[in-house]
Amino acid sequence: MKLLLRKTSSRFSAYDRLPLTLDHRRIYIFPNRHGLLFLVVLGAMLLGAVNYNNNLAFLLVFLLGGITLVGLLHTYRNLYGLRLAAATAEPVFAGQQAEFVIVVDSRGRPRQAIGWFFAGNRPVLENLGPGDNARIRIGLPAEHRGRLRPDRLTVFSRFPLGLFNTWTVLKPDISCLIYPAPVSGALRLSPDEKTDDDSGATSRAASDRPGVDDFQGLKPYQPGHLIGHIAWKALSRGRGVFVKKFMAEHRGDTVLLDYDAIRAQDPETRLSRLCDMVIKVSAMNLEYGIRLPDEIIAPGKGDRHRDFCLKRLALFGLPESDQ
Amino acid sequence: MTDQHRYMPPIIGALVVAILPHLTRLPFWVIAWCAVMWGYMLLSLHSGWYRPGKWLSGTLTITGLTGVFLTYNSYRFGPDAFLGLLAVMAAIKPFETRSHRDRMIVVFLAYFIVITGLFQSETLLMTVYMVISVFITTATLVRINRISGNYRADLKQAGRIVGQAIPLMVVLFLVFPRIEGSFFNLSRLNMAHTGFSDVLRPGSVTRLAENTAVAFRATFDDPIPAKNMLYWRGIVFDRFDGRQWHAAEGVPLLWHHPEGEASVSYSINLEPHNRHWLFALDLPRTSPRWANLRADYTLRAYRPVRRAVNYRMTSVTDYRARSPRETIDKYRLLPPQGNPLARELAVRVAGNAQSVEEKVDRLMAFFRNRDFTYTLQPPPLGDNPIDTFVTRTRSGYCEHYASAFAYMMRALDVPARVVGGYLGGEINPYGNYLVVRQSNAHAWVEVWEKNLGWKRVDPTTAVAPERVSGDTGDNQARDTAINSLDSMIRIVQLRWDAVSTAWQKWFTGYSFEQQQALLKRLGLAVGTWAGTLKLLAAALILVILFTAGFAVYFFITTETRRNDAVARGYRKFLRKLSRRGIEKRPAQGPADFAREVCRKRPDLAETVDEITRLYIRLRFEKMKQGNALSRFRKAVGNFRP
Repeated sequence: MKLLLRKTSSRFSAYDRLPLTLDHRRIYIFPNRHGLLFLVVLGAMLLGAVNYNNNLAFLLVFLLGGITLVGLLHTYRNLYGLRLAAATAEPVFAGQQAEFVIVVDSRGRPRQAIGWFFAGNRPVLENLGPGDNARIRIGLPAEHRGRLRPDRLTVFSRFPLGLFNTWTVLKPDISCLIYPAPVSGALRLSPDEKTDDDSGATSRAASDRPGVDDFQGLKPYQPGHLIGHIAWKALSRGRGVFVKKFMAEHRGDTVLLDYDAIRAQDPETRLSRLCDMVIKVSAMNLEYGIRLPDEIIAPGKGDRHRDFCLKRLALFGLPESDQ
Repeated sequence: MTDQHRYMPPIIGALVVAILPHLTRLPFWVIAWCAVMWGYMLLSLHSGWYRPGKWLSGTLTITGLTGVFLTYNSYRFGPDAFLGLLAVMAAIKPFETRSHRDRMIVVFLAYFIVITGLFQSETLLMTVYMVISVFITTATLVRINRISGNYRADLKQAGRIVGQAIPLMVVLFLVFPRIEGSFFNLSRLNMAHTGFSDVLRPGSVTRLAENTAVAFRATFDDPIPAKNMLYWRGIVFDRFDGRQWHAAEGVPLLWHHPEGEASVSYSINLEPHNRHWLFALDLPRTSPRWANLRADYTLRAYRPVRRAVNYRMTSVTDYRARSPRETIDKYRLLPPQGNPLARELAVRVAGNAQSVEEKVDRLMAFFRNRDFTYTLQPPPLGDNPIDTFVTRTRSGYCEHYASAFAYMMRALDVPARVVGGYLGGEINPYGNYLVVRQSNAHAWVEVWEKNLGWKRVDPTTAVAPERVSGDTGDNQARDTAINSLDSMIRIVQLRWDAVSTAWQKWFTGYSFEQQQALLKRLGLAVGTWAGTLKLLAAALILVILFTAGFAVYFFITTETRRNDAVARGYRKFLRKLSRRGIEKRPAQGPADFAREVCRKRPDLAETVDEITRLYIRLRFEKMKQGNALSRFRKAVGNFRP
């Protein structure tokens, strides 16, 4: 029963689940404007051949007609059987270009000049080898935070003759997480609980705090150190692997980033500020948590924690279906 | 490498290939124009020279079009002018080609240039060239529709497409319904006339003497008749106006067949000459369905012959050609004035001769015994050409003799007329047929006698007997030079002519009648309009079936086919082992199973290992394995447990 339900729901759902194979139910083909023009020219040639009863002209018209027909099959075959195995997209910040990577299986034969685009965007044209792991990268501008679900993905081809367009329109079940666009501002980690600028960051540390990037020196690298802190210059000079030492690191402090403490009224701006802060404090390798109106993210550190925080910010306040 | 670098050279190449066979039909300036434009375009790709903008290329286009209109004034605006127009446009177009759309249009232009050539010539050579030209143009089309790949890949892809299209082409060519005649009478689109015209004046046959173009080819059912029988009758000139002879007009149809012996059957493949007359061996008894046999024993086609035609004929070489009484008198008519000396001379030469036969003999003797010469460079004859010829210049070609002879016979009140056609022909030993060229053009005379009817008299034989017997010095020289390069070339020429004639007979001759015959043989009786529609439907269905069948084959991907072959091979291997009592358990993998087989039958270890190794490679490593598949099949085939 459950299975049946899932089956029906998937049938009626608007999304095509990957992996999927392009077959005759999905692929359309029609002459494009060049093809139509060519057919008109061919018709005129046929009239001429009939009128003059010229067998060589007949032969040419039929040869070109045969080429057109065979070309149609070649064009159709260029898409037919293509398998879209999987799709991924790395999260990006709003305002950037999201990049969907589709893993494509050519099913054993090379395919030429296949175009891919999301509705309203420029296509990318790619040749595919005979293998099963071609990666097609299709860009889509990310405007708003949240989950970016591409509306329609069109796969098309007009190879080899350019007289026919064959295409399929998919609504693949893929999405890309879009973080809020970071808006930078002053980040003063002051000792007071209350901040006097628009920064919502509060610190439980009592001592004076140096600036964010207060560089203190180098120390030998050990596994677990942030890659971003590696002293690449030192490394390039052949001195060995060192990481930069920052003041804050040693304090073992915990920072709480508070949504409500940010002065901006607009929730989006607040999220953008929080996003910026997360990036910065994460770069400082501080332990930090976030207080959102409906959720408190426990303090933590590291890339995973940062990504989790950014994801919560990206999806904050959005309806369940988008999450 | 920019788009222009990638696409422009092949586009220009396709245009050059398309236009090459038309070079002789284009005025020199158009050829130079194309060469300069394309040359500049190619050079500018490499050197980054100035590329003409919108204004300059517009100006060039207008200049070119003006040039075409000036070259071909409105009177001559035929297919040649159209070709000139296409060539001029094709020369400019690359400058204006920037987008994919522009490139597609230029390629279509190349296809269009290819077809304009086909209305001029339907030879085998042209057919082969047409296919090559389409192939090159298609490769260009492939190139502009892909994003990378070299020329070899383009040619390969185009070759595959053209190759797959050819069966479709053949099917359509055979079954596409042909109709008789044409929709419109486009007489403006005439080609130039070659061969005879409807007047015969001194020089009108002479000018053909150097023309080696083929007039027609004749294939005989039986051995080819003797050379002096090969008078190919075409036109009867019955009216003399003092200077030239005019072709007969308004001739009624023949209402009786000529009586005669020595019936000869043959078929003729006539090159287009754009006139109504057809040629047949003297004297034709039959006529093709689309022509009339007229009272002067000439054939007249309903429509001018604008394309090569095939027709079967039966002639009698030994005949009695009667003519209805009432039409005879006009063959005695002479203009009231002019050429007085020739009239007097005729009377003097005839003397007391009474019968037509005697008169003919005396006149022939006159031409034979006086110092008449046979030449290709006769002097001009002036206002009274017959007088000047028989009394002063006395040198001329066959039309001079025929004209003078017929005139003098009429002066003696004997009905006479001039017949134009061809004499002889060259036997092609590789095809056993006769090639008759324009240089074989000939004119002779017919005189009428009450009991015998029309009789052929060839006054040229009195002066140049070798013209009739066929032993011109030229031919002898050819025969003796057997081992020279000349004769090699000659043999190649003859062989090529044999092949292309066989092609032309079948191909250009394939029309309504042949199609009907073919369909009848296939058991499809058609012939009415409804039949034509049925045929069209059948053609359509055939093409659809054909395409569908091809598509099914085509869409079973090579991958699937290969896997099938691998699986089949392995099943065969298992079958062979199970006959020896070694069964593979379903859960057992191939490597496991191989170990088990080796344990039970150590003697088979080597082959089993080999087969299993190949099977695993083919089945699970998806890469191409060179000849692994064939090795696998062979190993399984040779496996004897």
